Amino acid sequence: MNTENTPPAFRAFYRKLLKFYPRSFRERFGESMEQTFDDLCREQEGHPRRLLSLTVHLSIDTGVGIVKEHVLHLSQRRAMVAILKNPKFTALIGVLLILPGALIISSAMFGFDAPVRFLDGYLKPADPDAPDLIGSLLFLILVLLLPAIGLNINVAATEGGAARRVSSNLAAAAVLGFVPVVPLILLELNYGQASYSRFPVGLFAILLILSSTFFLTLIPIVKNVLAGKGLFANPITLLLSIAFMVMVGAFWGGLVHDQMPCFLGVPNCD
Amino acid sequence: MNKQTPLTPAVFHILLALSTEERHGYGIMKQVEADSLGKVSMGAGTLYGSLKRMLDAGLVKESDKRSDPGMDDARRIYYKITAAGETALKQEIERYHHVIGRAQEINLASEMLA
Repeated sequence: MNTENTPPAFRAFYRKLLKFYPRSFRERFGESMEQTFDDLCREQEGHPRRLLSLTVHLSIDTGVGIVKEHVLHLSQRRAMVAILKNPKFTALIGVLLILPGALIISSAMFGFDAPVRFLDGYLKPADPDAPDLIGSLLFLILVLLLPAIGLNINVAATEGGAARRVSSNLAAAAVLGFVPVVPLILLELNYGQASYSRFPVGLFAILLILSSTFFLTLIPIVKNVLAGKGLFANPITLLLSIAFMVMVGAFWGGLVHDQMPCFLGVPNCD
Repeated sequence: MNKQTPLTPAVFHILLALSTEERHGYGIMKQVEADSLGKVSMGAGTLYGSLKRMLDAGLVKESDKRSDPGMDDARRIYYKITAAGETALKQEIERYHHVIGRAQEINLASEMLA
């Protein structure tokens, strides 16, 4: 590439500007755009002011192009599909799903300060020095199952319909997950203010996450059955999903059972 | 009428520039300027953004040609118009003819009324 006529500073600036294009566009056209920039600069050789004017004009045009390509990239949902096809995203789903449960159980097992200390008495073993086998087992199951569920979502997403299917599942799960939490919020607003000094946002957030996660696991199973694929089309996934739902359901029920006196306004319920 | 039309001005000018021969990006820019008597000056962002969409739509394709005697870089990518691109260009020119014809009718009517 003949670059000797292009001032290095202008060339470096334009090259940096091109880095703002989406990667796929840059890989396809980046080199050609640099060549074209050099060709245009060559035309203005010996006219520094025209060269500056050309660089400004091309930078503005390229800047507009960058915004346009990013908008198109997002509107075509290519980014979403690319993310979903990436195995790293599966791991990320797993970690994000694990995080609340891991925090709660770790807090209960090891007693370190976490924003969910209200569970300390619920899951903490009677003897703090004794190994909590049930808690450890629960934690292990969570760690193993959640990435598997994430993988299931990921595989379903890449089999066509992709991003739309996952986002509709997430939206439906969030709405359905909210339904069982609403009566508890109403109870808390009516009677619970005597028990808590302020509205327990963290508690309801965890209840909402748990119930949404439950429905997020349930929805693909129901959809498969409604689509005529049969309940046992993928027995291993079904078994994992049911085990996970039972665990999440039990955890949700245990939390509600433990906190119900507080929802009903029983003094000193903690 | 083909679903590709009406074409954007940039796409129309690029197709017109490629209708006579295969060109690389800079060559397309220069031809667009010449075709428009210097009225249309296309930046690299507009040119390559349009080329991307035209490649995706099958209006143009990359050519096997790689070197230009007047240029010094064998890695230059040349583009050529496809059959679909030629059809879209012809339909767009027909559309322009129709619009110009309609404008002339209106002018004629105005003159008659005056």
